[in-house]
Amino acid sequence: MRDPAQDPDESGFGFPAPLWRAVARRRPLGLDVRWRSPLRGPWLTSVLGLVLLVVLPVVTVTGLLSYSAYGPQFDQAYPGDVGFLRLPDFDWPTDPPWLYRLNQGLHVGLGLVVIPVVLAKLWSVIPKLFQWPPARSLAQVLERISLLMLVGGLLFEIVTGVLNIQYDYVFGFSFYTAHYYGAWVFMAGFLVHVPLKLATMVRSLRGTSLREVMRTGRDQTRPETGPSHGLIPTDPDPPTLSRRGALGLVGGGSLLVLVLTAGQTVGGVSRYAAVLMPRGRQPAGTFPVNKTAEAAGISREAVESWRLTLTGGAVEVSLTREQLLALPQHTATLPIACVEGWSTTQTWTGVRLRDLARLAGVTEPSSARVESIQESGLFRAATLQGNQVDHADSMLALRVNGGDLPLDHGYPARIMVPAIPGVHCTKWVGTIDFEAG
Amino acid sequence: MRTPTPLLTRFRRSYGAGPAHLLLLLAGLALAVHTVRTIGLDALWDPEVWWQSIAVWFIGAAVVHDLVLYPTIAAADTVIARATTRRRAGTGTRGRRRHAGRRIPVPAVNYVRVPLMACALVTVLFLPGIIRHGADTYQRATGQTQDPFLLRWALLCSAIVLLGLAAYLVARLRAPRRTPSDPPPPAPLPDRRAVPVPGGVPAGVPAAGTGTGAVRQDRAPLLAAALVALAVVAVVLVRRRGRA
Repeated sequence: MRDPAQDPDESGFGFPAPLWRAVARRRPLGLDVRWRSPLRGPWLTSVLGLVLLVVLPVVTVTGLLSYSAYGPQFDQAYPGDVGFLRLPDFDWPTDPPWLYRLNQGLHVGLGLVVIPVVLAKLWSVIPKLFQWPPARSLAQVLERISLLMLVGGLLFEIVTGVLNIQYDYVFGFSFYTAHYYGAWVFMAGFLVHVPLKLATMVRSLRGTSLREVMRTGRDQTRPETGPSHGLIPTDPDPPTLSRRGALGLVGGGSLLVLVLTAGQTVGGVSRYAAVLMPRGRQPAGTFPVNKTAEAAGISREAVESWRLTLTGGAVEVSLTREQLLALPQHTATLPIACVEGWSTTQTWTGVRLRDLARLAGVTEPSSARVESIQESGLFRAATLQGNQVDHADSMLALRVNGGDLPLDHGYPARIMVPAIPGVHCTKWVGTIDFEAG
Repeated sequence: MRTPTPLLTRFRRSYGAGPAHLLLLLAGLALAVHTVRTIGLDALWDPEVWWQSIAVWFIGAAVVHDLVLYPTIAAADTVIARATTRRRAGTGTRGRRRHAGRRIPVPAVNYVRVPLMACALVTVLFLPGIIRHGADTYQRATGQTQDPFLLRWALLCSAIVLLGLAAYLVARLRAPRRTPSDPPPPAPLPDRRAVPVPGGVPAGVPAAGTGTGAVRQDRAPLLAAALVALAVVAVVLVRRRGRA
């Protein structure tokens, strides 16, 4: 793949040449920006580009995997009706139990940590944005459009994602729709950009050794030599920072974000470092919650006369909490992992779902539809796959860490299944409908 | 190397790149257009509140970054760099004698801008919590308020700025002293049009004070003190507000 920017006839214009020439002549006033930094150049851009080349696919793929984890085969992944814009159908695994926690930890965690790198990468190439003429051929026009898809998509994903994990829905539109389709536009831009620039990146990286840069202090720092690609300043200021200093600055920014955010996923002592994150704080004496009982419209009185209904077999089975507690109990340590990246691992005790299926008269359930007594809400019900119902650790939890479930955590009973999105661990469960296999 | 056919040459010249480039670009555009068609044009535009449209936020993200965020940061950085560096006069024997025994100045620029960049990053990233935006949704989800974030943010940023100041003071104290035989105090800011000296700094000149960013010794501590004072005032104000 050849990069038009380095074609031998770069000075020439494509078809229709008079048009491009006319554009080139009409340089708007104020566009004569002098790019001051001596650090800009293909090498620096390539180093940052390489980091993004590794990290962004991980963020993207974990995002698509999360969509699969929600169970699009049951129409419970949002947005629905995405056509072929998703991974092929597969049953989301139940092992390891921390799979979804890892997936979302990577998606949200890396997505946040990479922000300083994205900003630095955009800083490093900004002279290209103000280049005049903006295009000399149709090829360059198409490339500019693909760059809007790439940069617009990336920034859009960052902005919507960062707002979503902090519950600020100032943008008004559906987060799911926007973040999912925005990702596909970004992917389209990314899949064009990488093949176009890969050779340039490799060549630029080979041109200067990282070790050499790491040994060069500020006072020895000079503008890059070699092909400019429109990045090396012709009239730079003296350096105020070495290249290694600049890389350290970007890396330090990422490290700062990591320290301030990782605790919501990793938990333990690190949670205290997430001082500005919603789940950096533990509610007194308990653990983080995704939706309060109050917000779900569940009161203490409403659950007093609670009974669980099991359907799917020949007859409907109805059980009180006492009857459930009298059944064989199973205990497992499982994480609740939210799509927003935070997670918390607790020890749950309750009745295995496969025992409940047998009680309902369904021996080999292919799926189970769980509904909450919560009256409204996008996640008041969820369908579990066969492997999720059948797993030895999948249960209707009644107790947590040796005590009764708190009301906010789903008292009288909630679903706990390994490796599923937190919102599918339905709280305040009213009915379970087992589908025979 | 194979010679391109005349047809290929003509294609290159008129399109501006090879056919593979065109194919790749068209494939990428097709995927983007398909995505837009799947979501539906209606979903991109909110006729009631125009600024709450997906299309506006998508284009807006790029435009705000390129035309607002970037120029603001660049301008702020230029101001910081100018405030903390200057061209030094004072060559010749008199200057040499006057400055003998003093420590070689440490450029303050990075001790100011690095902490400020860290503060800006933290502020932008966690703005909703700091300004208590989306308080209702936040409370419904977490069962908590966003109240503690403002103070935490103020303390964190103050700590970052203080850390920068401490690092600067340590660097100044550790800077070597100038001897009368040393070349004149701090090397003048090189002309930016000057050809770089091969091999870098001339021998005998300690690296710390050479090159650019000769600090305004008199101004840098003032600037730092002002920043600290601002941070302290912010914390006090926040505390008061929290108590009220």
